[in-house]
Amino acid sequence: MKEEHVDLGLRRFIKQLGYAAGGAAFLAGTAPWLTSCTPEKLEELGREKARLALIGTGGRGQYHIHNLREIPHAELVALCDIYPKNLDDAHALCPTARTCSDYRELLDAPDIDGVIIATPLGSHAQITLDALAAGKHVFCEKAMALKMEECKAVYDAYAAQDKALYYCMQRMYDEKYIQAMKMIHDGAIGEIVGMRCHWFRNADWRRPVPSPDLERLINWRLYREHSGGLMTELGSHQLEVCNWALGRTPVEISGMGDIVYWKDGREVYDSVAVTYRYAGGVKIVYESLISNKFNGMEEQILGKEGTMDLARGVYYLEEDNLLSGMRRLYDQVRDGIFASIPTAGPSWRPEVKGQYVPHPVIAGPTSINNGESMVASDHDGSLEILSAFCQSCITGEKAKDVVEEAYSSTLLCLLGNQACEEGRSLVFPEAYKIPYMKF
Amino acid sequence: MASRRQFFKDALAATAAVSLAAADGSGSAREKEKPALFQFSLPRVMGTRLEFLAVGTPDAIVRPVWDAFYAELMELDAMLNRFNGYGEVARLNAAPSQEDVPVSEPLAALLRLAFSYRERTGGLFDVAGGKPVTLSADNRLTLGGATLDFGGFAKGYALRLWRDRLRAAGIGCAFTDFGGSSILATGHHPYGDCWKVGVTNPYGGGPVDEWSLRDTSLSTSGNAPSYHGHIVHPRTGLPAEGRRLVSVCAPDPLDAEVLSTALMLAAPSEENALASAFPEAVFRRYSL
Repeated sequence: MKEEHVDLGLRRFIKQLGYAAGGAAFLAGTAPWLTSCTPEKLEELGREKARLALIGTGGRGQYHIHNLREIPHAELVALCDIYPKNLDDAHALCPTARTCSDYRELLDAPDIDGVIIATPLGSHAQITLDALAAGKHVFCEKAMALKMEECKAVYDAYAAQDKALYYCMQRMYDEKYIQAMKMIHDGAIGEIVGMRCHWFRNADWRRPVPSPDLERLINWRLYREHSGGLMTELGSHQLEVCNWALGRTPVEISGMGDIVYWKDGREVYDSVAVTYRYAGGVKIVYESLISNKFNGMEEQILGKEGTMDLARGVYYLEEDNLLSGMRRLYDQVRDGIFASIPTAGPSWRPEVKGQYVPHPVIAGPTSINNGESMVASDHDGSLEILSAFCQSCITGEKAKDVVEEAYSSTLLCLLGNQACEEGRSLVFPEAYKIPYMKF
Repeated sequence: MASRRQFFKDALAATAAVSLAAADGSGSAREKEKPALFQFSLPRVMGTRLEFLAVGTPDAIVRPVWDAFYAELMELDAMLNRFNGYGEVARLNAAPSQEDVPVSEPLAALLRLAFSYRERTGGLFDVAGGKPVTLSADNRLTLGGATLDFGGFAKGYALRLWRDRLRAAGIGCAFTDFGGSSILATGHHPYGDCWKVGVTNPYGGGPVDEWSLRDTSLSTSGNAPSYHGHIVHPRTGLPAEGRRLVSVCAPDPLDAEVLSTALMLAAPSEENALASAFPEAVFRRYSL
């Protein structure tokens, strides 16, 4: 049960926040979705368990099965897939669960509280809508849907009923991201002036296919009927953290997308460069390609006073402690305080990139996602968000803002693809604005 | 020279000394009793940053002193900078002649001063890097293939000039921080009997020591993660190794500056000689 400590890790973190001055305000302000999964609320569950069905038992679905085993308040009762091999593999992991190939069979089952959807993107919206309509709580993989109108339909349906809906935006439940956002919102890196995100891999994104008729089913990521390519599979996470940091949604989108290297019949870009502009001019420069991994995966929030490297959980200060030493002295004298200022040391040098000193966001060992795995990375918040969902299945409490964040970032992914496709700059469409969004 | 003047002009525009002064016209009577505060900052000079805080002296007095010093500092930086391509030292280093060459009176004076420190430190501090460089009475310099490096000297010299200007102007309460490595404490903190300065650990963690400074200066030399092996022994050519710092407190900022470099290189057997040569200096070593 060692993984359980990970789950406890986030809850312990929430608990500590509760004790800290302003902790409650922080939760409500920076990560309001955590208010529904506090340790106190978890304790109230007693021995109750969320009874769950998993729809989609491929790599990511099986990863969720492993995580569910570590969640004491979860019980997986059914598995569903149209691909028998994956269903068999999943069943081997969870022999007590019943199996089926049509998800609709699960929706009327009274012994199922919630469903976990880990199917190709193209089917997210329909299954989610059906499950919500059937009164099930839903946990769905990102991105939200393949089309903007589907996203809006799901959002409207969600807002009109009382079941919980989660999208696996695991960074929202990753302690180092949460702490980093707290620091950003507290002004640690000053005013946000820009954001740079990229995700680079060197792999073709293909999986072996036992027979040609399964190509589009198994390699769904490569085909537009199922997938938005790099933007929805990778960009959705990264654009979400940008919005989270700034608390706003971009107003303008432009970009280019191409198939540069993997000319193997795929339909989605293997190289994208998309720029998002917020009102006032702050931009996200987003880049992803899968034929060179030198730059790995990074999310940098650039502030006037420093840079938050979210993926690594470290931050850098533009002027580090020397200038702040002098500032401190200025403030002390102004306020009539006599105290020491930390400034003496080897000569401060003008900073180039290599001379910035990384400061950890949280003390102790930090788990860092190198961005290479197509399925999952350990300790990245996936277990925590799944645990929070299971809790919601029991309490019925929605997680605040998770759907709204997923909606916003998915729309940005889809608009990015559209901008690439049409070769023009797009303005965020009025019809898809929701009250949650600030521009 | 036009381009050089333009350079100064640009530099001045780019680094325009910032005054955070608050002439408080609307505050309460109590606030009006608080001393005037003036902070000036040059983000780039002599490879680092210079910051200055004056307490209790009106802007009208501080500013002209600062302006005069600023011009002097720029001239000095231009002359001693090894990398700007046009200064006297940069030009000498670019073509280190075997023959003797004439040097300007200001540079000759600085060389003589630097050579005097070479004597006082037993050769541990040497702008000529241990090479037999000589300067004749009529200001002819024989480099013999050597190059000049005023690192570990220029900031201390500049602070000495600055100290003298502050004294002459009667500015008795001020704090000057030249890149963290050279600090000039003029008078004392308005709410204490000294200026308290923490020595930071460049490898991370909290301060390793605290100095109480009053009408004196502090210079710190050592290695840092991003800047290592830059202090080279003039006799052996080997860099000072190890995660360590030396801080030197001395009334003369140039003494402190030179000594902190020399002490990074000094063998234990050489410390007594240095102490005798600089009786007013106090130093502390830090292993990090």
